[in-house]
Amino acid sequence: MSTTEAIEPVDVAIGVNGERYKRAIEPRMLLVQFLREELKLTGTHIGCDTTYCGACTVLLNGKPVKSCTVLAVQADQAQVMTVEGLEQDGELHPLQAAFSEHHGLQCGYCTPGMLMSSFALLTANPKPKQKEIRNAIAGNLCRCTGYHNIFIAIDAAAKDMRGS
Amino acid sequence: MGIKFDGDFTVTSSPADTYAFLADPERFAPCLPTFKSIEVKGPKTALVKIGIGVGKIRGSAGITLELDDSGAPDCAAYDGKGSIMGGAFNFATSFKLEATGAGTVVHWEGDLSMFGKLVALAGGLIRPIAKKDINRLIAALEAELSPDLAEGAAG
Amino acid sequence: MSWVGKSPRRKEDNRLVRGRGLFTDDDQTPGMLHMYVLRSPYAHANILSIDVSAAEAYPGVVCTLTGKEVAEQCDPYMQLAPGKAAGILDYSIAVDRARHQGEPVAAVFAETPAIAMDAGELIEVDYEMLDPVLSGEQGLEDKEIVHEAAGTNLVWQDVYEYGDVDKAFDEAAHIVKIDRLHFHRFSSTPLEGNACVAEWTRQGTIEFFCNNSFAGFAQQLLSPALRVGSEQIRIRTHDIGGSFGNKIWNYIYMTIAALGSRKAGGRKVKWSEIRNENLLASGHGNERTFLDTEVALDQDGVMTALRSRHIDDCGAYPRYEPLGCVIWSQVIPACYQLRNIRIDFSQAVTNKCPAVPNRGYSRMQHLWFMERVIDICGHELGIPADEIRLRNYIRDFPYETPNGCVYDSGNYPAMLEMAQELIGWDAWKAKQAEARDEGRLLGIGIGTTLDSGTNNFGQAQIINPHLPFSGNSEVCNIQLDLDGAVVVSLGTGPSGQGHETATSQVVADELGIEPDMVHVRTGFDGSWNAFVGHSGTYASQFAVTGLTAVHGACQKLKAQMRRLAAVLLEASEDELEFGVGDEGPELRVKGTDRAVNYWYLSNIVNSNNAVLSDDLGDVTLNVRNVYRPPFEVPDTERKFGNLTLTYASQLHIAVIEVDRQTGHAKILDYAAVDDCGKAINPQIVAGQVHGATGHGIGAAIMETFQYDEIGNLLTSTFSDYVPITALNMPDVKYGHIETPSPFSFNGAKGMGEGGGAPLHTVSAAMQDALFGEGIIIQDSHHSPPAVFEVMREGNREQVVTVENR
Ligand code: FES
Ligand code: FES
Repeated sequence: MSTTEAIEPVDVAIGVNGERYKRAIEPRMLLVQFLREELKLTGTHIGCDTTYCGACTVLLNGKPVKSCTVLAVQADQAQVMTVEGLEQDGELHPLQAAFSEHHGLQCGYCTPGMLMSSFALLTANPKPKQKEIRNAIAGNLCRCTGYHNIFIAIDAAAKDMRGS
Repeated sequence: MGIKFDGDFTVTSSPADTYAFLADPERFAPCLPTFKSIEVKGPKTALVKIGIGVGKIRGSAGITLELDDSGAPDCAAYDGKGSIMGGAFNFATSFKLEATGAGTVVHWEGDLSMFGKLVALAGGLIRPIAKKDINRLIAALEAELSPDLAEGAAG
Repeated sequence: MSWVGKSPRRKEDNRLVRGRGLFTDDDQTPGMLHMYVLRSPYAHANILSIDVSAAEAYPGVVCTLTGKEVAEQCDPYMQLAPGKAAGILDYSIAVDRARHQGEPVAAVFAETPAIAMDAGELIEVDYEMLDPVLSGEQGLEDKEIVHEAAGTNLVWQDVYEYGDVDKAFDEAAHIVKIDRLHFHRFSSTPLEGNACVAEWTRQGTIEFFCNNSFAGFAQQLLSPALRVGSEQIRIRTHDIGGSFGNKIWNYIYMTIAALGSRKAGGRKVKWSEIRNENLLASGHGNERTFLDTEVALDQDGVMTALRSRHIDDCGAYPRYEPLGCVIWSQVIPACYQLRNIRIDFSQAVTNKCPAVPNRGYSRMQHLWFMERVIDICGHELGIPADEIRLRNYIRDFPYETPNGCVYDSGNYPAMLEMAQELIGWDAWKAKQAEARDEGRLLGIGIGTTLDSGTNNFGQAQIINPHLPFSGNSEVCNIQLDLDGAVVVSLGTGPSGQGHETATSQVVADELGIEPDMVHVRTGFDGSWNAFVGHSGTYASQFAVTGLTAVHGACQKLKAQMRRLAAVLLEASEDELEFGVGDEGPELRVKGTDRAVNYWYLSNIVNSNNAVLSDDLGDVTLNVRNVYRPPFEVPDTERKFGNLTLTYASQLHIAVIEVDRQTGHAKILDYAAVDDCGKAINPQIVAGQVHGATGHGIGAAIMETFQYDEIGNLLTSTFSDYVPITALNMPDVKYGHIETPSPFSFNGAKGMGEGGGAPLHTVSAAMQDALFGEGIIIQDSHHSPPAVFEVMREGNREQVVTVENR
């Protein structure tokens, strides 16, 4: 409901991709808004309003979360990793390279969320089965690819990261 | 989403008293469940505020209530409309009166339509809630219009 | 070495996988205003009054906008319909009546999105509810009128008749009658919503940064509506998160944002749609009902004639309609030899979300209908699904359809054979027989479809002879930049189709260089002078329209480069060759080391030109090329003419098991074969096939826009609309054949829309599973409750009758 009273900002300190950011924010600000609007990290996208699409997926203390469903204040003192944190010194992460190599993206709007969900999967499970790959991105919609090449890309990245 | 209701109940008040009660928004409106306030806008119009809650979704809604007294003295009817949280609702209700012994049989009909976000988000929950609220309204009207019984019950 | 036909890594990917794309909402310029759109909760209601005072008084709100102001400041958008429907008044915000749930009724412009939304809730609108029109059939009754100014709900009606239909029916061996078929409402719902940033500058120009996918057309609609010259509007796009045709229509919001910017004194205004708004109000695919269908067949099951009545429901405003009323006729006989056809086609407005072009636009609906027809005929006459198709397929190309369209090339039997092999047809047939013995409902279905590309806008004149549209065109600008870099600008404004990559492949081949050496600008920009009125990404046309423009631009640039290099190298032009040397791309004298590189050529023209002789004065190394496909205006009386340049085709096979207890349809196996002529980039082609397959399967078994009896959209969030996910998507066995188009310079055909193959295929497999239960598949959507319902009742007797002579 609307309210006309001024809302007291809240101080937060959030680690994002290895940097610590201190900000005073509205308590209702979502983590995805914090990333996009406060930090201008616009790689994390918004695709829905019912926690369905996963375009906003980031890692919060290593776990994938839908950042449209987390308040920024809930991430106070936590470590967040976004798609911008995947590349190292300009070198693509194997997942990023595999998505490109295997045409796992078309418009690229779902890609950051897909990459973060896959990153979490491969961190926990370096040798995922087909079914586990599908489950890992069950909460990430892609409207362009029909998923086919995304499965292939994740599988290829897993192999690449295992060095086989 | 549209919901239709009907039924009848018998009260101890005379048809004339019953009509006078039902056709007075200031007396009728407080019987609405979760009634909060009323502001009379004209002889036949009033703005009524009620609370609305569907599960965790809570808010208050303003209803513009319009009396249709063209059927007086045998029938009192209201048209109402209001909005809530990006949605809206409309209803039409009528009370047809029939004398019975010392009291009155009230044949009532209601037609509620809901629009917008609330339906999309909580569509499945609305029907039972609406039904419960209607029953509460009827129970409240029954009690108001059968003062002797109510007192008897209380005593 | 040829790059065309290979699949180099996409140029687009480098930024997109790093999270460095630039989508419209990524514009985070400080100081922008944010727009919130207040929408009608009613499907149909008069707007008695609007009170914006509380919203305007809310701290942080700069201004508001209502329909009344829009009507004062704008002209209504151009209507394409002739006759009464031309009187429809379409403004970006409802003026005194809301005509569908979610229609904009007011807008708020504020310092933050949250303030705008909060203030929006303070706007008081007094509505008077009206009875809604909720189907095309109801619309045609004209009991409730959606647009008073038109006085009728009929948008357009006419009869498409070819051959001698009645004679063919007189001579038929079998006549199959199908009472009613229905193609449901859905849309491709791109993951990125509509968005725009508008700035009405104090100098009077309007700058748009947005994700409109048909900028050439948007410009033509916006400028008269906003009462400004076309030159005052600059549209710019960058990365677009999918469109599938849906984003053609966001000029509505571009208008509102621009007016808000002007009212706010020229401040930039940003708007980003949320999903609920997108599903409610940003365009649905056309819903169509097919009534009283009669099919004449000979004794072999070859279709000889068809008559039918089709009603299209285009929602509350026709917008791009009634073009859909003619676009389906690009594929009038589908893939079949049928010559005698009479279709009575009408379109009506209703109180539902306006229809917009959606992947497969208008042809998909018709192709689904034709596939249902042949499939039902096969079942009723006891001819196997593959057999009846083989007996009816068109086999000789180019093939002129009864209405004068020319199918360029194709080989449907070969696609069928490949798909049967991929899926293991015989093995599945054996399993099906076993399953049936066990009482299980297993079906195998075939869908054959067309993806017609590069449309002839002249078909618009069949609808309305006064429309100023015909032909088609696309632009490519190619130049050597000041440092000699090859820079290409396109008019297409793609949304994920990889135009930068495919373009660089064609240019690399033409100049004898590498795709990495070609810089293709991202998106669309009106200031590049690289667009025409047809510019955009739609109608499966880039591979032909776009790339032929690129190819032609290369030829023109090369001619200039040759003339210049010949003078500089003191050689004749035919002694020169293009290639890459130690100092980058160059022209050299064949067999020598005498060469000039691109920097030198550019330098001579752009910065060092006192040495240029007068006869090279026209060498600019900056070339604008427009490609125009060879089209004529169709014969509008007979509705006859070539409406499309190329016809890609697809053939899918699905195996489905239907659960008796729940009506749930499970896809057990799936194969898809496509033919788009020469594939410029096979990986992109396969990607488009997989993507379109995902969309089609999602639409067939999950996604639908379902309205209740008073016009509430019940599926207005993703959680209810349920787009297909990684869990529901079957594995797709993919195959590809190439029948090169004789009508394009490179043998390619446009593709990408996919022609709705999975819808045809899933319906056919459902039919095969359920025919034995006395069920005719009448609807394109197969949700478990709906399937369960038909399974309980059975419907064959009511829906189909067969006369054998
Ligand atoms: S934006 Fe869709 S789940 Fe977060
Ligand atoms: S690539 Fe467009 S949504 Fe996945």
